[in-house]
Amino acid sequence: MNQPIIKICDTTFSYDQKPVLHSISMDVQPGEFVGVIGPNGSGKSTILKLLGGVLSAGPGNLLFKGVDYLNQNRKHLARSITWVPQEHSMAFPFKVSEIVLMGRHPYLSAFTFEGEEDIEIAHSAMERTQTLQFAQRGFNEISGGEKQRVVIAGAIAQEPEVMILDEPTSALDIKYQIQILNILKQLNENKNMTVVLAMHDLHLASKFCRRLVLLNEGEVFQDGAPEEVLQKDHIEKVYDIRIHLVRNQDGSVMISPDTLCIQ
Amino acid sequence: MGTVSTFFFLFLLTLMVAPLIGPTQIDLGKALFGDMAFGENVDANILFLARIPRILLAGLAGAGLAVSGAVLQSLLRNDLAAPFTLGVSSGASLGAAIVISLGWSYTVAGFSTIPIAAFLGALGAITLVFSLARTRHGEFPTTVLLLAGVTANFFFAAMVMFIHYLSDFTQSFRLVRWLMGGLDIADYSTVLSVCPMVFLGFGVLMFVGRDLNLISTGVHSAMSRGVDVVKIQKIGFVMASLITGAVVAVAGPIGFVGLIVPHIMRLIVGPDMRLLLPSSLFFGASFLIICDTVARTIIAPVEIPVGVITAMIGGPFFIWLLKRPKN
Repeated sequence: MNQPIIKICDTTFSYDQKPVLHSISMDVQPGEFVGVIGPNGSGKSTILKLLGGVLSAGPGNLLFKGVDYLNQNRKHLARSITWVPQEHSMAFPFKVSEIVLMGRHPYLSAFTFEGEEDIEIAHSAMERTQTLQFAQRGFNEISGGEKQRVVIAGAIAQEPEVMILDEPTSALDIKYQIQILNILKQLNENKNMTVVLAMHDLHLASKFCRRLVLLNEGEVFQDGAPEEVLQKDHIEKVYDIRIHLVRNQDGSVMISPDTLCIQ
Repeated sequence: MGTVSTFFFLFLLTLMVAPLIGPTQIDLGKALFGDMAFGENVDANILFLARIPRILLAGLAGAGLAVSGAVLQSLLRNDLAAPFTLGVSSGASLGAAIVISLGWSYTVAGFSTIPIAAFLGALGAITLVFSLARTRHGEFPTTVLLLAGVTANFFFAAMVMFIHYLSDFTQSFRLVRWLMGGLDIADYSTVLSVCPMVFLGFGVLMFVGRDLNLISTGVHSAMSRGVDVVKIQKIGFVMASLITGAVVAVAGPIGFVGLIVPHIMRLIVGPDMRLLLPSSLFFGASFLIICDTVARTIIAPVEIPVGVITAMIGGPFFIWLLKRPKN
């Protein structure tokens, strides 16, 4: 096995005394497409913020290619890892193209404007995400699915090796969910981008991810191929419900509740 | 960049026209080329000793407050933030009031203690409001931010009153005179004391303009784009305090400039700080020079404090900002 591109070692994390993650360990290999699943409050967002380098659990907990996140210059780390938030509220009327160009920040020195090359990179990122047609519109004027694609275009313009996304599909309808997941799949397959994303939809998770990490109460409950992780008893235990599980021919699973009553 | 130069020319225009306007008609030819001693040349005296330093001070104060407001708005991700609404101006007043009432207002090697105290007061106020209003996720909800600002304002105002109450007659008079603020006591030395602070602050902030843009889209996103958020927040707050402190120390608290100007500029040049900061600088200067010209002439020969004019424009503007339909 190669050296993992990201390694999180025995990490415990609390918000104001309230523990969220308990001694989590996980390796991500280059080129993987990993889905992080689990109930609300199981620590998905927190683990992704740690992986994305926007939260810190202290020295020695997170390594990028064997080097501690904290020992790296922020801009350098940003050339390798990007993190995409779940919600996009913009206080000011930035244009879509401006948001995408902000992805070039780690490559620019202080007091400069973006150059020809940056504009070209942003342009092709917008092409890839089909956001070019509203490049000149205000970010606050476009729909939720369009916003998500714009933010992903910004992340692509950052040219990272690893993209961490916090529930990129949760607020979207099925068409946009699939559109976003296809964009990520293409990045993963064509550009060898390592993708780690949190998801709620277990069916889509099993369809798109080649590896799933099931979190339960701040611990890794299961970690492996979708068919190993998405077993009836695992889901019933972690989500505390009774389900029917149907396995499709492509290996993906369909899950429906056994009764409408929660146990 | 085109729009920024428009505001630069507007600034130059106000700078040239404003000295000619005033309750006393002056003869420019006589003021500039009059064949008499400066002491006897009334027109030159009015122009060079009364109007020009006052206009320069108004320009610096307006520029400083506008830049400071623009930075506070981007760091707090809220367009209702400003030195005045957040209690930063009143924090600066408290700092200055403490120094005045204790009789510590010295000038050492060109540095006066009043602006330093005002700077520390402003920085204290920003730190207080920042820590009160910030949620766990690094957001600053409007209601909490405004309440924290109002609280800080009341608190600092009460402290100033307390100091005022304890002061003896002379100190009390100096304090009242200072608190009323205004640009009418301007001379070239006050202009020179404010000038470096405004330009230092502006220069440093321009240097981190792109970082400020990113922070205004969210702290975590900014971090993931490689911004050292804590460092930039510190730089931004210190520079905003430095500018506000310097301005408030000589001109007293002048409200609403730091709220109105960045807002109007954002509507015209957009939210990119690399354009917003210079256009706020020039438009802020022009705006306060115009307001002060109105204040000097509207019921001449009586001059009203410029803060009255800015508040009469700014109050309704603030209400409009608060009530305007959001998309």
